[in-house]
Amino acid sequence: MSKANQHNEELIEQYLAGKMTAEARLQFEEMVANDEALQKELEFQRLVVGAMQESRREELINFIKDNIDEDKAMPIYKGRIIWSLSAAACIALLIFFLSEPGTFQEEYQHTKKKILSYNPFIKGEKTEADSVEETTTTKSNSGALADRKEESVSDSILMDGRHINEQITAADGEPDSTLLSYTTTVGGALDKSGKLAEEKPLERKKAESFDGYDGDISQTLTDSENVLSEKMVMDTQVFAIVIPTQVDEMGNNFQQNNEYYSNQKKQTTRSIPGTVDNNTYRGNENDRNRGMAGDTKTKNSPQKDTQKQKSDDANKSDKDKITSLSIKVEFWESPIHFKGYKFFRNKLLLYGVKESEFMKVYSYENNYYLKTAKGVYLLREENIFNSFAPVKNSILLERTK
Amino acid sequence: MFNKISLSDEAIIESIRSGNQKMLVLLYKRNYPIIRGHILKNSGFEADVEDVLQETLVALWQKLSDKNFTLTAKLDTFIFAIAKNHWLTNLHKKRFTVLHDGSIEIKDTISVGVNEEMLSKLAVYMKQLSEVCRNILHFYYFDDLSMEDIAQRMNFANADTVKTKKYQCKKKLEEMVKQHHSLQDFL
Repeated sequence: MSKANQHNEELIEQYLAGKMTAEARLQFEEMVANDEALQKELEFQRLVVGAMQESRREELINFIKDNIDEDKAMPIYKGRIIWSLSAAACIALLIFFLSEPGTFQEEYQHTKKKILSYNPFIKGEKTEADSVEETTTTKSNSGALADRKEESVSDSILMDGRHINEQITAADGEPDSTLLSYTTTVGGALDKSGKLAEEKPLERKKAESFDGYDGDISQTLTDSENVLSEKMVMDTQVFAIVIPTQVDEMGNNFQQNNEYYSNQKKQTTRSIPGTVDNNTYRGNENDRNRGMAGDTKTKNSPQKDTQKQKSDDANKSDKDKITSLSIKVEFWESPIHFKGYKFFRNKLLLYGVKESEFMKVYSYENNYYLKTAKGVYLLREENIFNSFAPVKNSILLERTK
Repeated sequence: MFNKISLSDEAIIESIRSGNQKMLVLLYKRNYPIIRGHILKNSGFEADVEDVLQETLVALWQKLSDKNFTLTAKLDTFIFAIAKNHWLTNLHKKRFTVLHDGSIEIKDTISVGVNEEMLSKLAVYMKQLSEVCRNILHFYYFDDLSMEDIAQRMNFANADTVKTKKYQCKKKLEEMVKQHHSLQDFL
């Protein structure tokens, strides 16, 4: 090969590889235009280089294909299989858990009962005097769910020295006006002292009512509800504080809101607007309103109505300042540590929020907001579970301070 | 077997630049679902997904061979962008009509250029070369490796040896092509 040919080949190679400078490239193209042999050689080399590149491309694709073919569908179907198996396992566990009345379930129920019975909103001291012990229903390890549903016992547990207040329905179906606290132990489970208890009847300790309690004792906690709401820690009733959208000089809008929510409030029970109803465990009443309470026999007595009326009167002075809308709040435990909420039809289900964290619900421009110690979150009124979306609206943040 | 590997983008790029083809399989599996979703949503079919993804990864391989190339986005984002462009180009090549029910009927595909067809034919001759020849030519003309890099990767004494070998291999290929075709076949 002549030196000229070798030089041309090098030029062609550089040209095809795009490694020429713009100037050299123009020069080379001019040269090609004037030399037919060089032009043919360029085309031939273009094909040869192209063939080599095509060969490499095919080689790489074949490598991918060969290795993908080992478990081609893995990225999609392997995932699906895993999810399917996981779902099947979860369903199987759930069925076992709900249907098998064995020791595991008893332990779970016992643990849940402790959680259910914990009420952090109790005010005042409660005495343990008048320890009237009543033998009620015996719970056993082998007891079926059906048996449990038959029980209509309002119970609570003394945990860590804390007194839990519950109203107990009297045998005749009328609610007892005095407040009762009592201990309960479930056979096979640990009692309050940490010892393994044998099958024991429920023990009730009658306690005096305390000053902080101001009436409307109208709900009980039944075992059937324990079963129905296994993961609910507790529920309560709050009133949303309405933040006026725009207050004109005459305060018209504010007044309208006031009237509307005042009417609403008359249908609800006593409470300090905008705060958590600290004194009552309202689960049964609300459940009964929804037709979920099963065989609860409690009824409002005239005495309660009087107390309720007094309470309403006491709050009338607050109405002028703050408006409110009744919202039922339920605290739920999530087995998957989901933090979020579901807010639908004036019912707020909170997941992953401790009762102690809970503070207030606000209503602003037809939206609801939850304020906790950590921040203010928008409550979307949807029948789905949502995560907490922090609010950045400075006006709202200012008004919820 | 590659699913268990969890590597950073940098590690994957480094591995690709050192010639580890297994990384392509890893990236294929990792990006298959999202690219599949995109293609199926945009008038594509299952069969298109594999083709597009393979072409995408080959393009990525070639792109990463350039040591001056710096990735500014996440690797998967970059792959998705290449795949989107590939699929768009493919769609332009296809002649299709949208039916009344919204489905797409592909009438036919514009035939690939004579040049592309010829290249596939010529690529067959590469298989008749020795593996060493094939690798040198691949590394030099596709992977854009320098003679020094090829020498290191293929355990040659030095770059000059590779240069000589490359020249010989290329001549062999040219001879084969010239034996079976005249230049007029390709013009």
